[in-house]
Amino acid sequence: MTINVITGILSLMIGLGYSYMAWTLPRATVGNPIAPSIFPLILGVGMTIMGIILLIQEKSQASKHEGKTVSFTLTQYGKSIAQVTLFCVLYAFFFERAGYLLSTFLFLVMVLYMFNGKERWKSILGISLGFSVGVYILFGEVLNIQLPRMPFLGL
Amino acid sequence: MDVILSNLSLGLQVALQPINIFWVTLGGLLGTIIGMLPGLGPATGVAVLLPLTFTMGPVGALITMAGVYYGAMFGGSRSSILINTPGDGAAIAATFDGYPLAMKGRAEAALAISAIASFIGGMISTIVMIFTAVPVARFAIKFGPAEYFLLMVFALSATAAMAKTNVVKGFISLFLGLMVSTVGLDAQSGVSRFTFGILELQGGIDFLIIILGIYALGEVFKSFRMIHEGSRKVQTKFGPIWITKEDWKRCWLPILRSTPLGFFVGVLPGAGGTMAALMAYNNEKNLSKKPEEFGKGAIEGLAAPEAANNAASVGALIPMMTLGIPGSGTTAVMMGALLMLGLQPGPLLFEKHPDIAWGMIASMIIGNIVCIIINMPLAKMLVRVLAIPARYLFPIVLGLAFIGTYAINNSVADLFIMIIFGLIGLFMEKADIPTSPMILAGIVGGMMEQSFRQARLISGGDWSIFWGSPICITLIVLTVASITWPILKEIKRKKAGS
Repeated sequence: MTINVITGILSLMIGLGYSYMAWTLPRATVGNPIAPSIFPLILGVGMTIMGIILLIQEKSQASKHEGKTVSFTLTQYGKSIAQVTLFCVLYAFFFERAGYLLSTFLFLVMVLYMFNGKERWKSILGISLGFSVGVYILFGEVLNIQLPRMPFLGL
Repeated sequence: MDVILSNLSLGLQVALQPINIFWVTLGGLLGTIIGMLPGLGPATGVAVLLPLTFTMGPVGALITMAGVYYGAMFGGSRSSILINTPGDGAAIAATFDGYPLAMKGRAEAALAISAIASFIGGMISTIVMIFTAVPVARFAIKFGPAEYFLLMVFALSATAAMAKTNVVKGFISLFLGLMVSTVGLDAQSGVSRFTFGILELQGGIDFLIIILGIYALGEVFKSFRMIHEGSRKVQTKFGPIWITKEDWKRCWLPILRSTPLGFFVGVLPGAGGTMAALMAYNNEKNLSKKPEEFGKGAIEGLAAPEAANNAASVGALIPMMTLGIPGSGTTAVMMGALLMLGLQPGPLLFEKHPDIAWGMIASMIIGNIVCIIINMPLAKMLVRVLAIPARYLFPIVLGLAFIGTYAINNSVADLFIMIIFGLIGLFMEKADIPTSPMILAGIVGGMMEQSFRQARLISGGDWSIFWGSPICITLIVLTVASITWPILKEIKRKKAGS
């Protein structure tokens, strides 16, 4: 399966799903009852058509030569992405719960550690501390935007 | 003429206030640094720095953003010249001859001519903009909702059709962006659309979050491949950054030729700085008596694209400011900044807020002067940031993306939305789907649907309103042409190939 086939199938699915949702939207009580649905329906149909065209294109191409197929083995690159995404999700989850200072400090330590390893622990701690404290003070004091505080210590 | 001069003097009064000079200098400085760093372009720069402007008031914020936008255009080519890595897409052409020049030991001349060419290109274009902005805005004021809708259709489909790889993929990106713009409560009927019952989605998805997700997070994800590289060796000792008379003789004409070319390409929807720079480069190569020197350090091969690139970045502001329709990812972000400040760009901006519109235009003149100072005498200091290894830089950009997103609505839900769009951006990169049609569509989608519905309301549901006026028909023809042109070219190319 090539990446274009995947894109085509995804577009088709998004197009159809979106069109169905657009069609089944609650009818408006004021004005034209289907007014909120018309524009989205055009989009849904357009997306569906694009998906179909892409699939047809791929089919005619595939008969001529083999497109590059997608492999699902996890490369080192893929692993780093997955890991950082996980850190991002955790960071977002603890952003308010643990407060800006603590969550940001830990997030940066983890991401920086991933790429720099143990040997550079001084830079890692320095950058993480400097960034989280710096941004916290900049927003709180200079820009008057209060970032989430830690539930303890009140910072 | 008198009107334009009085407008300009109003603008200069605003732009020359000490605090505003300070903002444009700060913006230019930050923009230059961000532009220099590979992987971070003007779009990311404006998006990440936007929260800093929240408390400045609209004029200050806009002037700062214009400085960032401008500085990034200047800065992008610093890294092209010194480390053969373009700071942003538009600086690719600067690697062709800029890096060979530096290799020959002429880094000073390369840095100088690129700043000078950028300055001239930007300055001339700003002057042209001063004279064209109001007429364009006046013309656009005559547009009814049907015309406005079709204008947006044209701008968006031209952008989608520009997609390098495949026109269909451009349109997939476009529809995706428009779909995202329909999420949330429908303002006219109160119907909640595509929210999946999630309360946070009722207010819609803020396009700035999409931009931060796609550009900041997505760019960082993409760049992980090079994160394990060690620190780069950057030349930090320079002689005086200046050019010789001989250099100037070779460059002045290419600069003047490439400026109008770049400006025109910039005004067109979809085409942008990258295309302008590449076109200018090829153009000069074709015109040159010594085309064999190109790619080996021909100084005019650096000057031409640099002038074109800056001219294009000014030209691109015209449709955004006068029509409210951005033609590139970066101007979309600028428009996002304006909307965030409660200003609707478009024909009425010049009437309702002349101080802001003209203040921004005048500050571009100041910004240009500031940027050439930053990029010539101060360049020696600034290029040191290129030595920061990616493994320190990208985690910091991640941190900035998060704080930038949070500051928009003080909402944690937005952080998750940003992560999702970062991953969408990554997939799109893998699948060769261009992201700029989606960003543009996301930003104008709401207005587009509104015009569409207004037009149908006026006509009582009669579809013929969309082809009922000469302007409409012209726009339809332009749209069809913009889509079929690249397809025909592709077919022709294939035929020639087989």
